[in-house]
Amino acid sequence: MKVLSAVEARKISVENLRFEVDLYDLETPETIAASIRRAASFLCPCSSAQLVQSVFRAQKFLVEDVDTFKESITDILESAIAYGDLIEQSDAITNTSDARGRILYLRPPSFVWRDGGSALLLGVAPDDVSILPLELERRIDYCNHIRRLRQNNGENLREDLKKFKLTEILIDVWNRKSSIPATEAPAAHVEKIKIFLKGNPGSLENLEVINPQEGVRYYKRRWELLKNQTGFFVARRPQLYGNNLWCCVELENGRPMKMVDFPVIDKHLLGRDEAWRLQMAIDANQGKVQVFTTEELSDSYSRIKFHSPIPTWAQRRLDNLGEPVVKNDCLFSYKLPSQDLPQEIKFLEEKLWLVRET
Amino acid sequence: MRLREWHDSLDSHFAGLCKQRAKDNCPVFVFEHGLNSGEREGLKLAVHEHLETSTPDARYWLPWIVYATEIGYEFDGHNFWSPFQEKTSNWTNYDRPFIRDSFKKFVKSFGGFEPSDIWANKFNIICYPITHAILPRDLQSHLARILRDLRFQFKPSLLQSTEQLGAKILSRSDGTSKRFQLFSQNIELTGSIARGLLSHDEEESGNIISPSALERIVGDLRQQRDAASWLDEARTFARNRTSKTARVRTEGDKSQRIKLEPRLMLRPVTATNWDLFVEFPDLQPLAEQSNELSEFLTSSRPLLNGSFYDKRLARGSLVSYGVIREKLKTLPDETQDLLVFRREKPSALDKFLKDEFRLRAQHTNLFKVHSDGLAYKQKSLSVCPGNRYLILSRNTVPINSLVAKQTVSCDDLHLYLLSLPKTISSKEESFLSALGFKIKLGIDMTPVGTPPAAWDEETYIEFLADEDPCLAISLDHEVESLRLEYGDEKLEISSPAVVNPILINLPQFPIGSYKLAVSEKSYNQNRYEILASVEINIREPRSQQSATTTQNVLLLFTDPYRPAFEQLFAGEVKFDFWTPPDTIVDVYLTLFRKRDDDNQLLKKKLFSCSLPDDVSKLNANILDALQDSQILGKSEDAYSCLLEFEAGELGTVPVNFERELLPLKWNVKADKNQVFLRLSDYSDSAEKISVVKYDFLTPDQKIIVPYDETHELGFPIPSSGGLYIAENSQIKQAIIVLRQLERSSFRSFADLRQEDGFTPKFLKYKRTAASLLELLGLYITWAASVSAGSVIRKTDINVVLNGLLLEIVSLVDDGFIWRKAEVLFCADKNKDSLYLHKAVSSKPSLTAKLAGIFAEPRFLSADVWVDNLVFALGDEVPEERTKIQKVGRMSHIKVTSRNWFAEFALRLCSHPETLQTWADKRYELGLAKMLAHPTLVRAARYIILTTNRKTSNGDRNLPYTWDWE
Repeated sequence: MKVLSAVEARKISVENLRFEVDLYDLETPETIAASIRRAASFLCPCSSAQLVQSVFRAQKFLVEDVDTFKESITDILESAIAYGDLIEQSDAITNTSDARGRILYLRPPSFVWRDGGSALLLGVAPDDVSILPLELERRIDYCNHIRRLRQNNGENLREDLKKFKLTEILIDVWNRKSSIPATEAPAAHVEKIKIFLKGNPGSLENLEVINPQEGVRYYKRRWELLKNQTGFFVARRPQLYGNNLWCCVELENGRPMKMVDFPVIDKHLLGRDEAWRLQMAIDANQGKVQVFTTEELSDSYSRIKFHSPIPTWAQRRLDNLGEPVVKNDCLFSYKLPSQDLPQEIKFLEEKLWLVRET
Repeated sequence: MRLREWHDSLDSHFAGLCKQRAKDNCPVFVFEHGLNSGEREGLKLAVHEHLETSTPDARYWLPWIVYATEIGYEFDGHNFWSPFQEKTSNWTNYDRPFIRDSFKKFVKSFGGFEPSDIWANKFNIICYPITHAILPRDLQSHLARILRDLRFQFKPSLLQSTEQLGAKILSRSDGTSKRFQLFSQNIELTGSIARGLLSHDEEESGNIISPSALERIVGDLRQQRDAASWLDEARTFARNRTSKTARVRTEGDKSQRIKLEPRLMLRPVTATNWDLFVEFPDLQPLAEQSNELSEFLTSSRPLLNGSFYDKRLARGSLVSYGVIREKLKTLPDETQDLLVFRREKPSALDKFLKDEFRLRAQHTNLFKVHSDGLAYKQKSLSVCPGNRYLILSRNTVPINSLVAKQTVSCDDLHLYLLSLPKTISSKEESFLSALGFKIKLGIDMTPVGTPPAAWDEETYIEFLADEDPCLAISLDHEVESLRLEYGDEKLEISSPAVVNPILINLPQFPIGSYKLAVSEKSYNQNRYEILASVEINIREPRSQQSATTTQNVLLLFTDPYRPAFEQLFAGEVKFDFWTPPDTIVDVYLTLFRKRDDDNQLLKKKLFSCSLPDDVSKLNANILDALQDSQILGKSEDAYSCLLEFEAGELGTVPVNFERELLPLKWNVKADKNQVFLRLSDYSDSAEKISVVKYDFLTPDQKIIVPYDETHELGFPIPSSGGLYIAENSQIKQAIIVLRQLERSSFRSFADLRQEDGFTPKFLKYKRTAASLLELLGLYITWAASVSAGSVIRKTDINVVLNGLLLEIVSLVDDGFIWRKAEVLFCADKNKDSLYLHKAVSSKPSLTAKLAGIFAEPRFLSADVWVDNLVFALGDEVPEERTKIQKVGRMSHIKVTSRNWFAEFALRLCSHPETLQTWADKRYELGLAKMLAHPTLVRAARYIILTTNRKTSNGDRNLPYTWDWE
C-alpha cells in the first residue's frame, strides 16, 4: 500500500486499461474510449449519463481541466455509440409508456471486415474481458474510438476472428446502407417530417431546442432551454431514467403545440440521426446552410472538419475510410485518403445538404 | 520390427516409466509410449500384418493398446469403432474385449490409469484407449480455453494440486462439448493433464506426463490457432503467479468466493411514482462450487418471491446470463427465501439462500438517488448533505420541507423523497436523527483511475483480479495522521492534505473479500480512532457461458438450458427471445458432420420473422422448418447443428445443439414410401440387443421384433408406426416412429382427428403399487422418447399419453365412476363438468369448494393450483411424518406437507414424467399416498381437465400450460 502522485495514478490507470504508458495518457481519446468500454462492460444496460459519470468520477482527481475532460467523455461516448460498440435501445425491463427511456446495451464482440484486409473491431464483452488472445490484442491499432486489426501475411484473420467467437457484421449492414436516404430537397424533407407532428404534447418539462438563428459553426452554443420561442425546432426531452429523447416540436411563444419523437422515418435509426439531419435541412432551407472544411495533409491524405454532428450512417462511412484526428476549430474531424475525398464531399452535399467552405 | 519385438521394446519402456512414476504415485498413460511418428507407422504396419494371418495374440498385447490409443487420440467424439474397423482390416467385433483385457493388464502391470467415471461405466472398452490418449484432439481447444479462463485463479497451491485443478476445470466445463463435460468429470485425469500443460518445471511436469507426450499434445494444440493462444496465455499467467517476483500476493492467501447478494433498486416512472426492483448477480460462482449445484441451478425455474408478474424465471437464467432485474409487487419478508424452488434444494443452496442471498430489508430502508435517476438501497442509514434519498418504509414518515410523499409499485409500503440541502441545520439534523439517519461527515473514499467493477457510492467496491486498485481519500478536516489497514498491510500518513484527495495504491490481493479501515489521530491525541471502512472485493472477470447476457440487446433463453440435437428435432426446445421492437430476424440452420466447422453438411435459411411480435410462433416455426425433407435427410448423418438468429446490425445469436453421447442410436431412413429403422451400436457390449415394439392402438402391449443387425438398410416399419425400444441388460434406447401421413388427404388438424383419429386400447390392471409403477414407466417411455416422422402426427403421441393418464387415474380411482365421467367430459367439448364434478367426491362441501376456485384459470400459475387444491381438500389428505434415522442414535421427523402431496397429485395428472426427478426419494411415498387417497387424485385430475377446457375455449384460444419447474 503506498501513496501515489496524480502522475503515478494516471500511469497505473493507463496500464490497467491495457495500454502502453509511453504512448498513451489518461486523457488521450483512445484511453477515454477504453475507459468508457470498460465502465459499460460493468454497468450496461445503463443510461449515457451513468456511463459518463462513472468514468468522470473515477478520473476527475487525475486530470487538470475537469470540464473539458467531462466534455471529451461525452463526445467520445457519442462516437462509440455511432461506431457501434454500444447499442442504444428502449429499456427492456419495462413496457410502461411513461418510462420509455432509451438506454445503452453492449454489442457482443464483433467485427466488420474491410476490403483492404483489415477488421474494425466492435463491441464489448462483459467485465471488459478481452476475447482475443494477447498476441492479437497487442496488434490492435487504436485511433480515437476506432479499433482496427490488420491482417498479416499468410494469415486468415477473418476466419481466425470467427474462431475466437467474434460475430461478423457485413460492411453494408454495419454501414446501414439501406438507411441512407434518397437525395431530396431540404424543404421537402422538413415538410415530410412535419406531417408526423401530433397535437397536445403536454408541457414537455426541461425541453431544450436548437436555435436555428445561432451560427452553424458552434453546435453546442445553438442549444437553449425553452423560453418564449415560436416556430419549428429540433429538440431534446430529458427522461426520468434513460437517455434524452430526440424530437421536433412546434412552439408558440414557448408553448409546445405539436411534437413527435424521433425516429419517425426509419425505426431502426437512432433518434438523433433523424434529428440532426432535420436540423441540416432546416438550416439549408433558411439559407444558413451547415458547413464543413477540407485541407490537404502530407502523404496523400486530406482532413475534413465538421462543425455539427452527422448521422450514424455518415459517421460509419468515415470510420471505415479514414480515422478521427485532433479537432482544432471544429466539432470533430477525419483524416481520409485524398482520393476518397471527392466522393465523400458529394455524399455530404447530396445527403446532408452540407456545403464545403473554402 | 515384428509385433513381438514391439511388445518387448514397449515392455521395457513402460517398466521404466512405471518405476519413475511410482515415486510420486502418478499413473502411466499408454500415450506416453515415446514413439516418434515413423515408429508409430511401423507399429501400425506390424499390427496390420499380424491380423492378415491370425487373430490378436494375447502374448503381444502392448502394441495393440498403443495402436488403439493412437486411434483414441483421433477420436471425433462420436464414433470409435467405425474408424477402428476401417483402419484395421480383418478386425471383428468379437475381438473388442481383447482390447479391454489388454488395457486392464496394462493398468495392473505398469500402474496405468484406470478410467472410472460415468462415461467409463457406459463405454467400458473404448474408455481405455480414449482415456489413455490423455487429451484427444477434439478436447484440446476446450481445455486450453478453460485454462485461459481460469488464469486469474492461479496460485501455487492450485497449480500444485491435481484434484483442485481438475475440480476447477470441471466447474468451468459448461458451454463446452458434451464429450468434454464428461471427460472433465474425471478430475484426477484433467487435473494431471492441466498441471502438465501449465508447468514450466520440466522435472515436475515429467512426473505427471512424459515430456515427449506433452510435447506432442502441445505441438498439436499449436496447429489450432485459438487453442495455442489460450494455452500460451494460461502458461504465462501460471509462470507469473508461481515466480518469486509475482505481483499478486499469494502468501497467507485467504481467497474465497465473494458474496452474492441481491439489492433493491427504485426506478422512476413519473416524477412522483417509482417501481421497486430487485437486482441480483449472476450465480455462476455459486454453480461452480459443485456439479450438484450447477445441475440444479441450470435445470430449475424458480419463482421470485414478491415478483410483480408472478412468472417463473427462465431456465438457466440464474447462471451465466448476467445481472437479473425483476419488478416487485411485495417486499419479501426477511424470513422468506427470495428464490422459491419447488424441488428439494441441495443443502449448499439452502444455506446460501438463508445466509447470503437475502434482501436484508428493514422497516425503514434508505435508497440513494444516483445521477442517472435510479435509486439503490444503501447498506447503512448514513446520509450526505446535498444528496437526494428515497425512504421506503412500512411506516409513515412525517412530511416537511425535506420530505415529500411519493408512490411505489409495491403493496403495503410507503415511499418518501428526502432532499438534503448542502448545509443542514441543527433542527434538520434532529429530524434525521429521529428517523434513524446519521449524517456522514469527515471522509470520503472513492475508487480512482480505471472505473471499478462495482461501487455502491458508500462502503462497497469491487475490483477485478490482476489489476492495480487505487483509491482517493478526501478529508474535510485536518488531522495529525491517518492510518490505513488493508489485509495485513498498514500505512501511516502524517499531516494528510485536506485540499486535494490522497491517492492510494492498494496491493494486488488474490480473489477474495477484504476490509480497508481508515483511522485518524487528531492533534493532541495519542490514539487512533476509526474514521471509516470500506469492503473491497477482488473478483475474477466473468467467463461468458451463454451466447447472450442481460447486458445485450438480444437475449435468448432456451428451455432446456443446454438442449440436445435430438430435442431440437423432436420439438422439445422452447425459445424465448427478447429483442427490441420490429426486429427482423433471419433464422439459419447449419448441420455438421463433426464438431469441426469445416465439416458442414448443410447450411440453410429456415425463415424470417419479426420479433417480438412473432415470438409466440417462433417455436412452431422452427419445428415446422425442420421438417424439410432435405434437412431431415441430412440430419441423420449430422453430429451437431447450429441455429443462428441473425438480426442484421444488432448481431447474431448462435445456439449449438450436439447429439447425446449414446451407446445406441436409432437411424430412420426413408426409401421411396417405405421407412426403415436401423440401429447403430456404439456400445462396447457383446450382449445381444433385442428390439420390442408398442403400437399406437395398443400402447401397453409389447411385441417382439425380429432384428438383424447386419442388415444394411435396417428393418421396414409399417405405416402405422409405433414405439420401438432396443435394449439389453445394460442399455436401452427408444424411438417413436410416427404414422405416415397421406398428404393428399390432409387439410387441417381437425380433419385429421375426425378422419384419422384412433382410440388406444389398454390391458386391465390390478390396483397395486406395482401396476401403477408399470403404467407410469410406460407413460415416461412414451413421453420421453424422441420421435421421427411428420410433426403433424405428433398429436398421436398425445392421444396415447392421454389414454395412459386415464388408465393411471382410473387405477387409483378403484372404480368405474371416474373413467366414465372423464370419457364423457372429453368426448363432447360442450359437455359441462357437472358429472365430472360429482365423480370427484360424494362430499358436497369438497365439491363446492372445487367448483368455486375457477375464477380466471388462464392467469394462474401451476403453483397457485397447488394452493387451490389444498384449500378445496381441507383435512381430507393429511400430512405425512417420516422418521429419519441419522448417524448415531439421533433421529428426526421429516414432515411431508399437504401442499407437497397436492403438487404430486397435480403433476401425476398433468405431467407424470416430471414426478421422479421432482419427488426424488419421496417418489414411492407419494405413490402410496395417491393410492391411499384417491379423492386427491380425482380432484387433481378434475382441475387439470376443467382448466384445460376453460383455457382452450377462451377468447385467445391459448391452451393452459402446466408449467412445472
